[in-house]
Amino acid sequence: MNVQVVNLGEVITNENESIRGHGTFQKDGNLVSSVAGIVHRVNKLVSVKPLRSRYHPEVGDVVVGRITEVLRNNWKVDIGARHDAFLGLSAIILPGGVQRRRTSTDEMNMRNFYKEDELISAEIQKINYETFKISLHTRSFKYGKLSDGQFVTVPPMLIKRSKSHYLVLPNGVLLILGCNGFIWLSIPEESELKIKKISNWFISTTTELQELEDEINENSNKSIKDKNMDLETNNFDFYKKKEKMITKEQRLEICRVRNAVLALSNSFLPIYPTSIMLVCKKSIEENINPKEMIKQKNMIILTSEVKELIK
Amino acid sequence: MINPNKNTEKNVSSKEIETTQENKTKCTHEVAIPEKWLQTLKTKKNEEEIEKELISLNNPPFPENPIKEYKFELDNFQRVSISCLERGESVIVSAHTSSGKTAVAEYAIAQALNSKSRVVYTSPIKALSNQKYRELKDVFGDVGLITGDVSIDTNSSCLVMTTEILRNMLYRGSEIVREVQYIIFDEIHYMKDASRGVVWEEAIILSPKNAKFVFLSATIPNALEFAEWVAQTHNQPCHVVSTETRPVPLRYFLFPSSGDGLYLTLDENNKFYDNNFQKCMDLLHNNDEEQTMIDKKTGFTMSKRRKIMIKSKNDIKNIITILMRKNFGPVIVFSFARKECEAKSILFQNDNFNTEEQSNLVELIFKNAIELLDEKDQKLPQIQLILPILKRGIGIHHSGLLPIIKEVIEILFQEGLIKVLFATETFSMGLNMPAKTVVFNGIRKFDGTCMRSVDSGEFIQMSGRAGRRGLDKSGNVILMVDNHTEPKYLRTLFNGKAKRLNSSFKLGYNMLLKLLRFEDVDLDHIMSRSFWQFQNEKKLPLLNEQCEELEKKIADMQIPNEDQFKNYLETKKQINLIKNKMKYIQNKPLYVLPFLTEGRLIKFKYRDSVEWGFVINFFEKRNRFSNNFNKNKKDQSGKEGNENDLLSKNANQIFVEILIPQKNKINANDPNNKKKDGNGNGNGNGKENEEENENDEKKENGNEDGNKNKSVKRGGYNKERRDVSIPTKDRILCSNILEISTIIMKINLNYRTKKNERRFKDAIEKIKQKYQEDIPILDSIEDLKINDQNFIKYYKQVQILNKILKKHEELTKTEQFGSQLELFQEKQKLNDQLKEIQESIRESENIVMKDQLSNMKKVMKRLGYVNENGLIQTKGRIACEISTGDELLLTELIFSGIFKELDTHQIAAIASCFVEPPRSHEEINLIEKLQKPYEKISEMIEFLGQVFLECRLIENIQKYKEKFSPSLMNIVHAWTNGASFLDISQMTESFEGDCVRSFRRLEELLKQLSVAAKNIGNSELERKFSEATTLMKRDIVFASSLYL
Repeated sequence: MNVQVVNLGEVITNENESIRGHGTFQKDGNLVSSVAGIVHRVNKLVSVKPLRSRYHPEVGDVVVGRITEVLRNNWKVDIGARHDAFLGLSAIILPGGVQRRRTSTDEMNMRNFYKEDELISAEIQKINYETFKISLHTRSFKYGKLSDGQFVTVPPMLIKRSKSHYLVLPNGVLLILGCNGFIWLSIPEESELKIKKISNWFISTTTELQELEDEINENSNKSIKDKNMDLETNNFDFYKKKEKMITKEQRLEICRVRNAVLALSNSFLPIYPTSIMLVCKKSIEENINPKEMIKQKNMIILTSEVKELIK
Repeated sequence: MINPNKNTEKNVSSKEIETTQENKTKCTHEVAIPEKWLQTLKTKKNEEEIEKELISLNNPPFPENPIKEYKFELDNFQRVSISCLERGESVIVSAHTSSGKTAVAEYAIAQALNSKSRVVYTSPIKALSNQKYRELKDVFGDVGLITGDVSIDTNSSCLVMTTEILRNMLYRGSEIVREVQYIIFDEIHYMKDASRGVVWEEAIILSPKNAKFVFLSATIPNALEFAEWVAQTHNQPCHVVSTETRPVPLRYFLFPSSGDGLYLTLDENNKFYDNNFQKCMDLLHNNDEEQTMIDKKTGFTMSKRRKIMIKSKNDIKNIITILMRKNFGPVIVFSFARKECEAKSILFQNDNFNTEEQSNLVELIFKNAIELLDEKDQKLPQIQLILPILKRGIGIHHSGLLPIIKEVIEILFQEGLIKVLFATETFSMGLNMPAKTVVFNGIRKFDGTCMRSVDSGEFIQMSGRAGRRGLDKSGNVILMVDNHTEPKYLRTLFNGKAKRLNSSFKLGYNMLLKLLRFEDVDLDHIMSRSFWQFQNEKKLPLLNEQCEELEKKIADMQIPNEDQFKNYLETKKQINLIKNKMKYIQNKPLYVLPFLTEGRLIKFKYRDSVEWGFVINFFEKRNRFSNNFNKNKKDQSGKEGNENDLLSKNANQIFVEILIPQKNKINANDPNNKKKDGNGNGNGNGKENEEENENDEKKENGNEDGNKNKSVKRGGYNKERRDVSIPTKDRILCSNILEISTIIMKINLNYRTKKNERRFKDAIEKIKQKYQEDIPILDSIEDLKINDQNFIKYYKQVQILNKILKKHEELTKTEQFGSQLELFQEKQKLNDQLKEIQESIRESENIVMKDQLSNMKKVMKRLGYVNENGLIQTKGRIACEISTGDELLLTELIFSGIFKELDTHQIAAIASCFVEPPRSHEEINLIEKLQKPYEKISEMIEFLGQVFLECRLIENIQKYKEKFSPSLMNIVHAWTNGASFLDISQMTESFEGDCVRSFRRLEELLKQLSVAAKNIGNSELERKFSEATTLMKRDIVFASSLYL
């Protein structure tokens, strides 16, 4: 694949026919890049995706964000974009999945759902391109408050979009890969998932990789399904804080994944389930403790396989 | 009570209750309960409670303290519906127009407002939404409106919108729909509409799970089936309340064409008057005979229809006069063509149904409404011309009118200031606008593809406009019938059931892409929840039964030598197939024209039969619109020059004029002929014949040849001419030629003289005798000199196949050959049927449209809308923004950079190709500025068409191309350049109302394109699109509705 990387102010093309997209401008008949990044061409459209930038939201993206303010009937959420995002009171699922009635009492109770500095996962509902207002919603039960876990940020550019961003890795770590580069790591609510010690992972052939990926999908789907089931039968209070017992091993696994993400980010490699798994696996093989994973020299070793794969 | 377990396999329990209480109207109440819902109920409650629940479900109690009080006494069906709503469950109300379904909707709204949640009211058409908004605003106050054109108070608790808007909101996951307690779907029977029906289905499928539904429908026989589907997809009970009773009973009359009175056929109590019906039918057929007699005298076969036309014009006048005398007004006259509505209204130029006071009032209302418009728009001919008509109490209502005029007329009609309204079917929908009498002026309608008779569903809906509640004891429906009307059809019309509500689900790229944007949305899942799938699954057992039956039948059929038969027939079929291909090549004007000399004897297909005839001449098929153009050309260049032109034409473009020495087959009473006439050519031919007949007769008088025998044979001649043989001059398409003989006969130009006449009569017989039925034919290769490679290949193939056929010839010689052949063919037919059923079984078992879905996915992948993992890409996101036009095509255009070089006006004009143009057949001569851009988009259409073709989504590109028409380009260009609407309407033949509609859609599309341009980050393009939007939006085209 031919990748064209351009610098700020660099001429991308002088073809007259191309039409300019994001990250470009026209100067003296040339199409010039306004950011440093990778050139994307779709038919005649030329745009440049910046290597490092704030998050550029798109409808349907899964994001992790932090509540910054509680307003009259919505929450202001920082999702790392150029503008704040808003989560409307009417855009959340109320406890027990009941329908909201538009009274003032629930506006008074807003802090019972989410308050400042709390982390949530949500989906981009719409973007108003006139006012740049980004609206979020928690469309299904898998979105909502995040607690008992670790939060990592990486450049949003590195998050590879896939079918699902809500994943349960085979080692039992729940991973929410926000498209905005905010990543949440935790332990899923359910225990009946297929969990395999990393040392038992076999990732040397593509079929084995495929198997592992299938496993991730299966686990993730099951986890979401369980959550939905719980809510349908109404014995699940979504907003109540639950004290989860997280064992030391689980904590270590979470840390391992976190540091794997950081290692990938450090080498500016794409972050998606496979790459994370490869790094985790490598850490076992090389016998590197989670806490030592982010040493510069270790990071290079750990990501070597991913680099191979991408080549 | 019911045993819910009885129906477990059906998943839906239902119970029918006949409620005939003290209230006069009869109604039925059924309820569909999903099995899953019942089971959840069981987990929560003990048996006693469940029993109670079920009783209440089947007989919902009427609330003691209804949330909303009504000024009038509620009908039974309204009471039952309200009881269901009081239980907080969904309900389908199926009743006739103007029986008061709105009362139920109002109750749901009151409930929602009371509990501080939202309610959405959707109607199929913008105009209806406007009317409904006005009506509900008066009742509730807290009401908003969202249509493509306007948004008012969008934060209100009750929102009136079009179904499309609701669907878009649901796709977006808008917060409004999250809080909605009730979604009211008005005129849900629209769901069977082929092009828009899918919108309802999408909206219902995507509705949030907490929402309850109120469906208002015209009478539909399968309301329960629909309810079962809703119950299943949303896991909630769904009630069906239906009534057949009309609030005002109807009396049906027949009015035979050119008759003089009304015949009561069906009265209020559903009594059918057989003798009246018969009398009316007899009258029609007597008339018929009379007319044919006249025909014989004058010899003008075709003029009969003309006479009927004249007569029927008087008919409508007669009817109105009778009705007015009997005090049966106001009257709605339904026609199925808009032009006819206008033409009819002109017939009443000298009548005035309004008093002077009323006339003045009409003028006042009209002037007030018109004042909203720009001064120069007020001078539009449609506005100027209609006022005098309205003042006399006559109105017109059809979709070709300017929206504002339509609304004024609706208001005037409601005020009782219009006594006679000429309307099209559109008037039968929506607001309560009844009349005392409804007249059907004919029962044939054009439904987009062909002419057909009105079906009983439409008839019921339209006749529902008769009878004003509280004012009339009974409504009158008058049906004008002519001698084409079959008595059997009329009977079914009167007793007919309403049409079933069938799914018209279809897939769109916009829909798929919108769904693909979200995580874990399974496309198959959406499909499997469609009504289409539901109906298909229901059909399955029946299909299986049919399949088994057929299989048995086929197994029972024993035929000896079956294989041989198969071979024999297949070879024959193949030969025919190849021969057809050969004919196609042979009939190319290039080969055939040089031999079509005057007097050549040829064999050809003529009106379903095969005839021999002599060639007179040939010429190019004249296009209706390029008529003049061709004439001029002919005059200038003469015949010779033309011939060369003709050689390059298609066989379907060349007419051959021929003389058929057979008995004249044109017979006005032959129904087959009439159909053909309607199709186009036949009509013109007929007329021409007539004129020629006339001319010939005149010529004949002056002809010396004929004079000698004239006195003697005059009588005999006449007789002979009518009964034995008339050489007919007619034209056939070049492609209909079958064989060309070697014989050329000299034709005297005055072939209509008696002498020649007789020569012709005998000529063919003589030739046939001479050659013993084996007329020598020109050989395709040797004589016609066809050097087409394919042709020669085919020629050889036929020879080989003929040899094979010979082998089987013994078979044909056996005695039982005939009967065996028949048997075999029957078996073949059954086999085909079986295959068809098996195919539909296969389809029903799978997720519906699976093949289509996978083909569409292929297209999207190929064009880069989604990547190989099915993840949506930039192009796909852009296509999501476009829902008014062909989303793929427009996205491709944006990404191809075509718009870059165009100015704002050109862009608007180009975009107009993607808006459904008004129906018209005008020839478009694009102005120079637009020609090149149009060529470019044509290329793109061709390209996409090719992709669709390769992915087996369309059958031919031509059909796909036809969806886009440049007919609006010129006028849009003029409009954005500031032309007035008057100028615009002079540029086109189409109705003003159509133009307005197209312009509004175009503005919508441009808005979407502007958003799309913004999305890709191209501000110049975005500016251009939004500028175009602003240029579009002015004057009468975007004048706001009077209801707002």
